[in-house]
Amino acid sequence: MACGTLRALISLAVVVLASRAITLAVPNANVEPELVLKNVERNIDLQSQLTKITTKVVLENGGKSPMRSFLFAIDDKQKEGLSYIGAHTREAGRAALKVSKSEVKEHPDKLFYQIELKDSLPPGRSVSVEVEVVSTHELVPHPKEIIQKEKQLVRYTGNLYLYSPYPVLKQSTMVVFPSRNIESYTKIKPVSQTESTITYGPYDKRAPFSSEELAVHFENNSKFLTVTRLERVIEISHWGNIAVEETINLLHTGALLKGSFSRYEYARESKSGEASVQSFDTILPAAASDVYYRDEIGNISTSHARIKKDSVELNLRPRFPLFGGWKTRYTVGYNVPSYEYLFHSGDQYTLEMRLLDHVFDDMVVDELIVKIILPEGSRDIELILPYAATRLPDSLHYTYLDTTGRPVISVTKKNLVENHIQNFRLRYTFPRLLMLQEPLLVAVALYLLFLMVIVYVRLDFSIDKDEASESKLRIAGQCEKVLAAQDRRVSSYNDLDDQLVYLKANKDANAFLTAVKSINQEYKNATSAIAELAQKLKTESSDVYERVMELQRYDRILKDLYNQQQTLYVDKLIPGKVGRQPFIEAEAAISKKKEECVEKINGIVKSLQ
Amino acid sequence: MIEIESMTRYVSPVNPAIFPLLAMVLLGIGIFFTAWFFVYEVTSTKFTRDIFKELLVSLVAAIFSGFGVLFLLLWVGIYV
Amino acid sequence: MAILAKARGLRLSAEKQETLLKLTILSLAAVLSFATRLFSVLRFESVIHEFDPYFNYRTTKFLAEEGFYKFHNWFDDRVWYPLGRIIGGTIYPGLMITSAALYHLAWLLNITIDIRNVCVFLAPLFSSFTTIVTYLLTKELRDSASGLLAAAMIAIVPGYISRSVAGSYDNEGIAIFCMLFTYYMWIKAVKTGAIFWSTCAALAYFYMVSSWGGYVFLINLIPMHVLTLMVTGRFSHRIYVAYNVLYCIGTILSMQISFVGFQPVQSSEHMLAFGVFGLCQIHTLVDYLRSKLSQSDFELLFRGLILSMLTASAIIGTVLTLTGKISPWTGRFYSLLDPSYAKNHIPIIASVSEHQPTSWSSFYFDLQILVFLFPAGLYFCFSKLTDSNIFLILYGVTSLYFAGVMVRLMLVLAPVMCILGAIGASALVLTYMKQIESGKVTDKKSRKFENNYVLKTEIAMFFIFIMSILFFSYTVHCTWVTAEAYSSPSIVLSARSPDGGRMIFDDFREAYYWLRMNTPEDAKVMSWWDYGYQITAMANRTILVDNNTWNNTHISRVGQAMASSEDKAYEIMRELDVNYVLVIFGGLTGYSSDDINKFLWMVRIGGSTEEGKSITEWDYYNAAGEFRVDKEASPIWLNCLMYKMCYYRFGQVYTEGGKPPGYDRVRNMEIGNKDFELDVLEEAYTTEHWLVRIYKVKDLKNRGN
Repeated sequence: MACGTLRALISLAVVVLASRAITLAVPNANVEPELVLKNVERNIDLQSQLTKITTKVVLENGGKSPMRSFLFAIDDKQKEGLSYIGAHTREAGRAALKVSKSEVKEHPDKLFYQIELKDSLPPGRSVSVEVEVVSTHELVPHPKEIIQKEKQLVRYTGNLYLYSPYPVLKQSTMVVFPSRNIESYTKIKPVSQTESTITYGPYDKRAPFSSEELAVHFENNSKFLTVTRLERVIEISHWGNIAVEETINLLHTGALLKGSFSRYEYARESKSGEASVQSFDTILPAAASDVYYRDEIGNISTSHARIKKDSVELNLRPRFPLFGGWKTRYTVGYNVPSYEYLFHSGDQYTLEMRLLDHVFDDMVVDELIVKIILPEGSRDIELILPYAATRLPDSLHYTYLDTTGRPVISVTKKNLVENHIQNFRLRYTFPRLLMLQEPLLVAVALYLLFLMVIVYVRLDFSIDKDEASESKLRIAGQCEKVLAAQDRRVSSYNDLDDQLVYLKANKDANAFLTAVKSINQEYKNATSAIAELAQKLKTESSDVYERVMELQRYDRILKDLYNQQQTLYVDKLIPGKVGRQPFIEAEAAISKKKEECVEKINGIVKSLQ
Repeated sequence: MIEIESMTRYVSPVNPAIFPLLAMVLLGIGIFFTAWFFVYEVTSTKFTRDIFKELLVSLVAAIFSGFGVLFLLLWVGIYV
Repeated sequence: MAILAKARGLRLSAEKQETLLKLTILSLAAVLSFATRLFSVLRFESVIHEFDPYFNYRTTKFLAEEGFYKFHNWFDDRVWYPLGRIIGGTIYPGLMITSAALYHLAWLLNITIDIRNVCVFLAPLFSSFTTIVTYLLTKELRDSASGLLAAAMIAIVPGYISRSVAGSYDNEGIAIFCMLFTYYMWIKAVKTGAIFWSTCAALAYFYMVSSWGGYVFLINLIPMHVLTLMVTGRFSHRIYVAYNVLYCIGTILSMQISFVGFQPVQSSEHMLAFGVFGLCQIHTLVDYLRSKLSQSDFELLFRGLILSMLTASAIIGTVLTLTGKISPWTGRFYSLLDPSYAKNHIPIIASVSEHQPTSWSSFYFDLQILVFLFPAGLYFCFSKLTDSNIFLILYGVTSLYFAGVMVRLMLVLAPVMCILGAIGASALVLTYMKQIESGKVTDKKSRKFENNYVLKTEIAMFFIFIMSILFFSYTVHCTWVTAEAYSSPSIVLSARSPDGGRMIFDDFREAYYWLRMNTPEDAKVMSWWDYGYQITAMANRTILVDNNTWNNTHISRVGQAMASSEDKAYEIMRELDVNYVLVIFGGLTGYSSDDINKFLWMVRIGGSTEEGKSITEWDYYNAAGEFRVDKEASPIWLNCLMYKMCYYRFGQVYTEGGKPPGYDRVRNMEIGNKDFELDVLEEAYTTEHWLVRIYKVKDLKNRGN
């Protein structure tokens, strides 16, 4: 049974994989024989650790039919380091053109990209296109090891000509260096050097796929830093926050440090350790707050943030300066409010955010892993990526107040540069009512705790019953009830007093009698409750019983006095049957007796407490 | 599927600026009821206990503390 | 007109008021004791402090990740290279198991807390528990008023805070809780004579044994209590049951801790407990016989019994000691009884600052008004002697003695100081509060009787006022001490910069992280033993010696390498397969506890073994008998490895205005040997403020060069 399920699962997985492979299949294309490149201007920018080649081509359609696209070939040497390729027109709008990988039957070993033109190119006409190619790890330090004081020299080998499937009529290549210190360079005429640039060409017609080695050896002290692994975790909370955390493994990929590191020279001589990296700037979104910068062993205290108009610039200093071959690892995290990147319409949500963010200028990221953690209960997840990347299997993440786990979407891609800082979109459905789940979870947990207390106080594990203390407790409980009833009685008396005062003032006997009726009812209830309790107490303790009975006795007297007062008011005062002086005397007599009675009752109540 | 352009920006149902206030008020009420509950539990004997009163007081305490704890978490930066 | 009084009304009854007050005060004290320990987290960050806590942190992490059985069988090859250390069998695992259990519990409830944070906040958490247990214990010993006062006092007493701030993740952090908990159970057992409470006491004792070596104090104090009760004629069946159950179950349980092993029945430290156990049986037997025999018969039997018992135990004791079954009196034990013992005999014990005798000022610093309230509390205990009060008196007096011997045992004294101080203060305040109240409502009879006291109320008021001021000053003092003295993590240093800002020296972590990231995984690092735990925990590299100073000769070998000339040191380093050497140097910043100030200990320890006989302390003093670093220093010192590693290229650095280059800001001298090169080492890394310097040991030279 289990085996069968497993097999079904495996076959399902195979089907899924196969279908994915089909969607990723590279389209075939042909090299149009009629296309020629009228003019090519190449600019190889070697100022940073990257190789940025900008190629301006003028295409001419020599055929009979209009053309929609053309092919761009990548040199064999460049294949490995190729990170980014993009194209746009050279007109005012500089509209981006669609670039896609393609295969050519005649040249199965070569790597081609098909670039679609904005408008189809009619026969005999020409168009100008700019193609940008960025490659990584193509500048090789030479010598491989240097001591602290030495400058860093690197070598670049490339192609002097455009590697193109089409014939090129005219081309020139310009190489830009970071400084004028150039050790050596390929001298194929015509060539000229001015300041920190070398210009090759123009060369006349070259056949398709022609190639000539271009080798330059020069000083480059820019930051040769590689992010060997970047893990970016984006956690969405519907309480209005998006938390971003990036764990970054850094390696200095320049010339290795040979010999010792001298702090004395490093601190004193500015020339010392030119190729090392002491700090760099990371640009965070403008809304970023609560920024932290730490590693496995704690906070790294050497960082400061500059808040700019459209960004937060974070100056990060690793714990130690990075020399060639030195590594470090750190974590940067921050919060951004949800309204910056999260959009919704009803229960439909779309997150639009950068798949890769800026780490430092001219960065190289060898491996990127992005994890997006959605709120618990999100469904119908759909991810739209700006460029091809591998989607890893979804998983679940458990953290505070989770029950079923939060869905995690993971994506990975290798070899990225700044040009890859682009937005992805993630659509999902989340019922808003689910947000109440978390507080209610806490409330239920607390309630269970209280219930446990309620149950616990009712548990009784004693083997033998302690009669004496039991009875004491019981009596105390009854007393409390008696006192509560007495309280009710007291408030009925107070009400009665109020009514009497009222009656004395406006002499409305009928209203008084109706009010008294309910008061008396309340009084009767309380009195009978006490009588009942007294009966129960009789068996427990005769002493307390006596006291309660005494309380009842005095209460009866008090009630009598009240009745007398009431009669005095209703029957004598209101009809005017009594004179002023006798009335005052009679009332005084009653209140004196009442006072004595009240004192007695108070005494008993106190003894019962 | 609705396009992003037709969607509105998502803001929290409760303004994050009042998280501290909410946390303190709700927890204050919650603690008051919790204290009431425990004092009642400790001082009452098995003859004077009233199960409904206990259940009611603890329920109120649990609900207020529950929401209070949530906002406390949000306040200190644990966005659940 | 009189008004009918309502019995209850809206006002709470007195009982409820009292309960509410008790609950509020106790929970506030518990919260306070947690909160006051967070100074370092707020000022710096949530980080483990000092040295030993790093080891505990590392082992806890291992336990949490690998599980108990792997932890139990853990042979660590990262430390004491090439010897290694059996961690599972040489530590008290209570602390690690507690935090790992809390960690797993939290994760079970989806509270995804980092293990480091569990470790950092464990000590404050347990001090909250301690506060509650102190209340219970004091309530059991006297009354709940004193209990509340004791709880409030122990919440902030500096003597306890010094070892339980957030981040100081050490055994003591939970051990004080275990100790007081055991005492509470023990008092319960003595009072009731119930097997239940004595078993609880045994279990609490087991927890205590599993967490701290200081359990020895406990297992001597309880028998001493029983013995005192016997001598004072208070011995009864209750105590017989309580002690026997505790001793039997407790001993068997304590032997389950592999680090303790058979010590409870072999070592001299546990003999008092064993002896009292025997005495209990004899006492009971004698009581039984006395009730059965006539007076003269009994006398005869009694004498015979005593004589034979004494001789038998003396013979057995001698034989066992001679055959080595009973371990000889260990050094630590002697040093407890005689403060000068360790200094004279074992340099490695004497070199630890926390093993030094306590000065008078530190008593006041750590306990403040408790020092004065303590005798008052003792007086009130004596005035109403009970079985449990005797225990408190014994605990107070013995721990006072031990705290005087060793600074770190102040920790054991602090709780009893709080309890006794609270009892004293509570009794005093209670006496005078009554006077204030009685001044208002007294019936005529008593007023006539007490008329001969003049200004009774006023004096009482004055006294209460003085007490309030004392309590207030106690609070202020405790907070100040906690904030200023006990809340620096020592792994991150901070100082005032000239412009008034705060400067952070994070050099230790800079160096450790450099080691972690940029040296081979299997590199061996040599450093003085103080930094061993930190290097293994933070740099994750193999080290030669660490703070668990179990092997004297190995430490001595490192000391020899540091104290020798470069060539000799190179031989030792090759022999020990060292790749990197790490030294702490404070000369640039003025950090005074650096390796040069510890150097004389290295020389002493290095010279204490057969192999290091050639190293004598006097070679490192100059002719005038001083230890200096300038030109007048002894040439052997100026050319030894430690000197060279600390001062390599320092001679060119200007440290202070108006002073020559190479001016050491700790020793306040210009260094004597400035221009030298290292032959066998090369500088691998030096931190920003030169606090940590790491050198790489060069490979052997190729032949023929």
